[in-house]
Amino acid sequence: MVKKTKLNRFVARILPWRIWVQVGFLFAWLGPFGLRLHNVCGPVFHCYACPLSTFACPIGIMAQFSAIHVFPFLAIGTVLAVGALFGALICGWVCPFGLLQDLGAKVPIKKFSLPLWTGYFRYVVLIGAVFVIPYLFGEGHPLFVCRICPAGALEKAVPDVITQAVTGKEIIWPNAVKISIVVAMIVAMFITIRPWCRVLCPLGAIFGFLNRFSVLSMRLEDHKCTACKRCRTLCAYGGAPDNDPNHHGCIRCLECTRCGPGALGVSTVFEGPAAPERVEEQQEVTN
Amino acid sequence: MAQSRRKTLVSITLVLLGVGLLAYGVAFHVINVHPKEDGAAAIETREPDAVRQASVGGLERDESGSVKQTYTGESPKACAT
Repeated sequence: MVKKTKLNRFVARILPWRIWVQVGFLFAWLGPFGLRLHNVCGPVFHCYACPLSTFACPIGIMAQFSAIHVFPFLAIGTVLAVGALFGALICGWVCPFGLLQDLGAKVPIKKFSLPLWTGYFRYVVLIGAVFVIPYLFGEGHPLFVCRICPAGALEKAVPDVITQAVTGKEIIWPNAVKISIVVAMIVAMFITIRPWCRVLCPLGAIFGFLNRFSVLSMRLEDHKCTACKRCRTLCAYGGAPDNDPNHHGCIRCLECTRCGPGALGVSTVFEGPAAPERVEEQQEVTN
Repeated sequence: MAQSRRKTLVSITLVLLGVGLLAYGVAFHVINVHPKEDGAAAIETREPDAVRQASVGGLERDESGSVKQTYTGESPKACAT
């Protein structure tokens, strides 16, 4: 078994409650006390146009600042600091848009699997729709990230229409692009697991990239792995944690840590190399 | 061991870089924002305040390259997007 550190014992205890941890964080992002702290960027994907949002969306701020040609120190600093600490753990446990997709995935419909390589599109969205297009064409361009963002469509456009309908005001329908995005997102949420996170999320691209360098990381104890491939069955993303536990496409739901031999676990960079490496080091010293 | 130490160093450097950027943005970074009225003097705006204005779609870049508010008087409540 992987060395049962305090951290891994904690992970094993909390793992069955992941959805409730996500719900707990939702209360922070939805601002139950009507706080609108929009001069602070939250480290999650949550549209600041949402009537209940507490913090500013870092991706929206990066794009808006690119459009006015100003470096977004605050947004990039927040994402870099949080990502370098936790990697994509934020996606799996904290992000409200991830929770929404997880709930959608619970609907018992046959799910289609997306290949892992589709995760590279996230970098295209990050570089193109968040930085290059806003910088070159401003925020009016149809491919500006906020104009194609499903979080904005679901969290702003839909509540607006509902509010207008409930209060008896004239309903102002969102444009065709927004309606198409909402419909496509809802359908995709039911037929595949976390479609936005896997294929298009620019924030997930940053956190996923930082998986390899984060203080908190996944560790595979090679000498304990029996190659039973159970971790691959447990991975809803179709990943291969036994091959690359810190893959950029991993959202760190930590389900793979439930593998039978217990070869996979959570670790920090301060814990040093895994056991066989220590043996090799000792041999090197002896020689 | 060397690889492990290198990874630790990279991780800590990235965290410190992020905290440094965040601290600089909060404490020192100032943006010159011009009010919507033509000819009005630019206001030195701290980045957190600029973030708040950007989050409601309140900032744009004009043809001369300067950052300009998109509204006069009270800021919009939410971004139109």
